[in-house]
Amino acid sequence: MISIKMPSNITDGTLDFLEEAQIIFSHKNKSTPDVSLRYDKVKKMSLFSQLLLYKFINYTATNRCFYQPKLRLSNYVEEELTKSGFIDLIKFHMRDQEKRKFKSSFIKSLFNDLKSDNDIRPIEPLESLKTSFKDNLYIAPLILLRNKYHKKKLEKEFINKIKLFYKNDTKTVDIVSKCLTEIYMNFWEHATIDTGTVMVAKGTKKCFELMFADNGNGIISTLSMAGYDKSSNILAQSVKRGVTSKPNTFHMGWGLWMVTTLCELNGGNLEIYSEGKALIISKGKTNYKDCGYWKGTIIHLSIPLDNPKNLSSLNWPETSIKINWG
Amino acid sequence: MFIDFATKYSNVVADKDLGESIYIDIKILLGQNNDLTIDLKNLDVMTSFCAKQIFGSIYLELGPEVFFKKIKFINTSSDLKIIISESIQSAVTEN
Repeated sequence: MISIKMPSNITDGTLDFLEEAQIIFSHKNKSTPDVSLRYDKVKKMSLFSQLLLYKFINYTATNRCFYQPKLRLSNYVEEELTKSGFIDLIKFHMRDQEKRKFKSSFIKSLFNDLKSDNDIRPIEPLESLKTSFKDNLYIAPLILLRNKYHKKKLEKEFINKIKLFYKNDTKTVDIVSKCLTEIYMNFWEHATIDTGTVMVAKGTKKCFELMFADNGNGIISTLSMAGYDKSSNILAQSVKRGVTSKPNTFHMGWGLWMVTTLCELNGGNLEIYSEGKALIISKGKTNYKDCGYWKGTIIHLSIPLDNPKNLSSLNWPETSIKINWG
Repeated sequence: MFIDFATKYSNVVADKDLGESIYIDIKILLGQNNDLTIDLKNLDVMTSFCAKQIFGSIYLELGPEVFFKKIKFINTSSDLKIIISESIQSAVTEN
């Protein structure tokens, strides 16, 4: 019997979650019986924890890890998943599995009241997921796919909504747009059905929070394939300026460096988890840790916007390039 | 010639297909005009990848003097100046 039990407060328990969840990656295509995932004691759950729960379900279902596993959710967890929209993704995932003639009992156990596909309101995540902003900005969970639709979404929906929400504050718009674009494009490059890339974001006037997770080739594998020494701390290198898996191309290795720099400049928190390693920047301190194995990459950025500082806040040495700035 | 960059292309320049089409278009415009004034006023985001793809490539092809003489950027934010300068520097270093 395998029992994966979540503590009552999993808001700050990502390392614990990864330790518990890593078992799924050794159960690919095994259909292991007698498995339970218990969220029934959970009383506090962040949006990030919900993303991790969804990715857990997504991976185990698509990779047939378990046979008829039990999923126990507290009422609180169900309510939170409904509020965030993750429940819609889970339903869509279930319908998609049915289409492929793969019975996902794990996911069905969530919806015992549903007798057939017809009982599920048709959901098309590509159309139904919304970016909303009233008191807060909210980008609902999105399964990211490398197609033209999602490329346009970045420009037409997210950035324009960010501009509207953070009106008149060009520095804030600049910081939020840069972080979203750089991480989005990094994941977008590899976003297929198989990688199962999911993003979600929320923002207030004081803070912007951005979360991505996938099951593709993680940062460590990608950089080691490009020649970086796997025995060294690759995750630490990955956020340094100029580190890229595609040298001598238009890639400059600026994406993660820029996000990390903006996070540090603004006193934010950044967590990156990939393949058993964690990089955690919090309160100005950077920690590297071993953690439970996760196939792929998870990024969680939280950036305060009280006193926004962008890249030009740094001292930049003059380059030898002469440009006519008018 | 004057180009309102964001209006003509996009306010978000982030992927290589768009970058490639902008690069080709600017090359054509440079062939047809003595100089270009590129207004970056409404450009919200340009990734370093696209900056290098567009301006790094053109800089290498024109050379520093012609690039300076033929292309003028206006209304460029401080951050965008950094991204464009550094992307050109990267292209030059790798050339």
